Amino acid sequence: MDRRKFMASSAVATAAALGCSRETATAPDLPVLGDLDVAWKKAPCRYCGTGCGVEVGLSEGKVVAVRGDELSPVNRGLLCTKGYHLPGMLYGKDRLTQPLKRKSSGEGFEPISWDEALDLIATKFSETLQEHGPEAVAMYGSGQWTVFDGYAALKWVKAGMRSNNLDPNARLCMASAVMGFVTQFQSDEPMGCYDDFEVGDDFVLWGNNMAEAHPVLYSRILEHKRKNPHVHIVDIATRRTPTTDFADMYVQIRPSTDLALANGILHLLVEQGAVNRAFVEENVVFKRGIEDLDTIGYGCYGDQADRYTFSDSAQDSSYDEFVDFLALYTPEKVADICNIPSAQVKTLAELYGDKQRGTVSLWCMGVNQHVRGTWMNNLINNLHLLTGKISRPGNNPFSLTGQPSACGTVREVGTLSNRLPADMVVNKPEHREKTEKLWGLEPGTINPKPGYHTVDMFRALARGDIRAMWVQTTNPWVSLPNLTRWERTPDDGRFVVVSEIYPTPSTAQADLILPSAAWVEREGIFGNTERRTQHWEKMIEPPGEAKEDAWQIIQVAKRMGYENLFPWPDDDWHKPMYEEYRQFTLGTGKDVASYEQLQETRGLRWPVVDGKETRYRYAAGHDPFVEKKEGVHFYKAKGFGEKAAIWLRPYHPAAESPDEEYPLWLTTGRVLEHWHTGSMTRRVRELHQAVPVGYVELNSADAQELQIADGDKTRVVSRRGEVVLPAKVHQGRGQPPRGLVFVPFYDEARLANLLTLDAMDNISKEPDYKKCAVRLEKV
Amino acid sequence: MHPAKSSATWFSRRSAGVFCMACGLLISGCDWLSDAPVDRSSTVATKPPTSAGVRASRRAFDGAPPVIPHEALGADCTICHTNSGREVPTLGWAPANPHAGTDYVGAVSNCRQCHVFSRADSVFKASNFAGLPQTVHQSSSAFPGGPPGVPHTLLLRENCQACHAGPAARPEIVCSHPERENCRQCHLPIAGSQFTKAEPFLARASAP
Repeated sequence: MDRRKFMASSAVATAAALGCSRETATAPDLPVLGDLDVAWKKAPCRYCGTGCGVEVGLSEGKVVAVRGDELSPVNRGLLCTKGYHLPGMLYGKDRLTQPLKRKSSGEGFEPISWDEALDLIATKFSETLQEHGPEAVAMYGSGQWTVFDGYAALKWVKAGMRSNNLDPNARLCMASAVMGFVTQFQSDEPMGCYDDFEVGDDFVLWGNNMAEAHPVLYSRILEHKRKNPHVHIVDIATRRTPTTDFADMYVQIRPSTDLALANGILHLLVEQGAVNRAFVEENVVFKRGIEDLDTIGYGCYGDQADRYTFSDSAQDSSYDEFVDFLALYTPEKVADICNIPSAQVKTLAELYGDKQRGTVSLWCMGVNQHVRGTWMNNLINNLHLLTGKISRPGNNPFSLTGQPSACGTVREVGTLSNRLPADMVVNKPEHREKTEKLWGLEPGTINPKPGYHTVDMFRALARGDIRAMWVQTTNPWVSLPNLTRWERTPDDGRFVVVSEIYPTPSTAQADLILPSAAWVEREGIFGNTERRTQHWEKMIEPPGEAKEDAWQIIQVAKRMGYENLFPWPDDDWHKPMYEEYRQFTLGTGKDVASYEQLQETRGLRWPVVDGKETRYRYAAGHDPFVEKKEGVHFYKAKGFGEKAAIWLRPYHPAAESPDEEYPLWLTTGRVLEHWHTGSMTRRVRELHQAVPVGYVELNSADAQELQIADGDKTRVVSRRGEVVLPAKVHQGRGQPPRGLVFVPFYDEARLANLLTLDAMDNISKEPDYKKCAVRLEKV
Repeated sequence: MHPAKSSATWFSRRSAGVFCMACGLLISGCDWLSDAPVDRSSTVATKPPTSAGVRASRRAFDGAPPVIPHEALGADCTICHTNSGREVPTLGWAPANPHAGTDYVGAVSNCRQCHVFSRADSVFKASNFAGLPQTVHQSSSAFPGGPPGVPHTLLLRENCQACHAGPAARPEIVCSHPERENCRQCHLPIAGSQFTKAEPFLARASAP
């Protein structure tokens, strides 16, 4: 019997809790807390991009509890239900504990040693490189990678194999926000931070179900609102959600018409004289790109269904041309497109135009997973640039991220097919040169041709152009759109490695499965949505032979002859690796904190200069790279004369809209209790039992017409596939309008992504999971 | 614009910990989901065999928020879980909302952010997780006969009487003098328990 079990079963305690009388203060069936040996250490939460601090309770080499970290400035002690149930995520009985190789028969797996597994990967990738070149190898990573994992992957793929076929699942998540910031400020990531949640007056949520997807941040806004009744929340969405319950105004738009709505608000700001002319003249240039729908397409029809390589062509524009462009978007026209009252467009324009009130725009997947996601990001940023409500406390456009290190690893380390660290790209010679110098490489080592973005990477795998692929820390055979496209076929000749902590539909597609260490089973660094870099130490041993992802990559790289890229001792490589990475950021305005600072603090927001973090980028008095005494300076936008760009972006409809055959919109998303594909949260009893199965949520009028009752088995059919789900009519947590249904994507047994379309944003190449057409059939 | 339905609370004090200890009878309502078949027997307000056993069955570990043991009742949770608790016809006593009652932490209205319904018996996969067991928190006094200290964190449990008084209170922690109301006039949080002990590495948080 171990200590904890002994404690639990031995009846000891005299309870003397607060105010107990002598007579009632006994509890013969409970142990006394003080006898338990629990140590507490800090870590960021494993799940979303909020980056809540938790304290991890450790006893006898196990995680036995967590509690919200009061000292974390992010969450100040509060968590959501996923965070409160973190420990269970580590202890599912089916944890992967040893490398598994697909049997030669093709059916099932057999254990092999780490040496054999690593040798096999090195051999397969080396052979593929020799026979087919660097375009035939690929690594598919994750916004859940630590900075160490991402940096190791970047060096292995880009400096070792001289390929750029490195892309992350964050391409499916926030790539449109990246391209929004890059096209307008020539530097990625938001200028604002979470401090805005306590100083803003109006919070405009664009397609953003914060109450479920970012609950702790929503709590901050709600508490601010409770204390300050003048604070307003506007929820712009295609379906009512728990977020709507707390909103002052709900704007229910037709799918994809947010583009028209944003242009309608811009139109009224101009018409009503709410433009901050002084700010615009000092800080803004005007640009426009390719706008023709037929030229752009959707990345999924005709030739584009095989490979999509659209690139925009920027032209100079002007304020006058901008005003002419907006003339189309009258409130009446916009109301008609969006199917909303024109008064709501006017109210939104009043709110953005009010100089006395601080306005914060918030968005996440509704805007990013959009066939014109970059445009929509541009339009939201335009609202703030036109009114000068940017880089000031309580006035900012602020994109939220869904993964714990989509910012810290993907966007900052640069694990994208065209990127290098700290905003650099492979197609600029000076960026390759700087990278080669810092890595001690021969000039010309880094391949100047960008690799495949995610959807094209999997299309290339399906075609056979990619012959060897390594997937880490993500579950693409649940999360990619139009899933039937990517399934393995016998003798397809491809070699797929998947590093995971549990068996998933993705490990089922693998030729080799590697067991990974999770969360506090290894040392890590994450970077959250507000530019905060956070560190945790290794606290417990991983189960069995599981190893951390970065270690796996380094071992393979060494076997392939790239020892020079990882010159650190096997038992002490985290700190020197981080400090090498940090060199890329220093002096760029994206300066991350030192390793020692990260150990000592609850994270710091970059740029960190002289040990001090920055709350507001580009803002005089806040950002150490701004020399002006007041106002803002968009100093990263060298290509625009150090000004930000307002882009003229029109409304385009969705790639697929309902018709007679498929009369309903399908939108997909999350529920509060499950995170991403559910591979972790579904192994936590409390979270699984709260929402055990996926479902289709529909409007009661549609249900009546289709004679579908609550709980009925319902077949949802799209042009790509079908899935049978229980119906939620009156008891769904969201309330879709007539003509729209919602399916969460966490249930691997009921795959929402068999239905979705692999249409994508023209600039970011992020797929649109929010809009396609389906029909429902009662089973 | 019409006024917001309600608002939630932001937190500025101790780290999160154990919630309402009286949740053997927890009754709340929430209107935004009913996800699974309902076991109505759990909503009957009969006294459980052992309150500690019921308490443990509703938490993943000591310190985790309790799950909601009844069906969604189609209303705001705080209609029944008022600051002092309420008798609910045919169901029994709804324990008080322990999260209300101080200047710096008010009512938490987004209840489902932390508390999930749990009525299905299925598990997706079996688990080896063994969390911190349910415990009684040993308190101590500064001197014999002195008032005992508070052995747990106060964050999210500002309303002491939610757990220590009223029909839902567990017998071992029932307060003998709830009429005095201002509990922390005499009972202070004590150092030395796991809930108040900070590790040496905990430097000051970075934000001002």
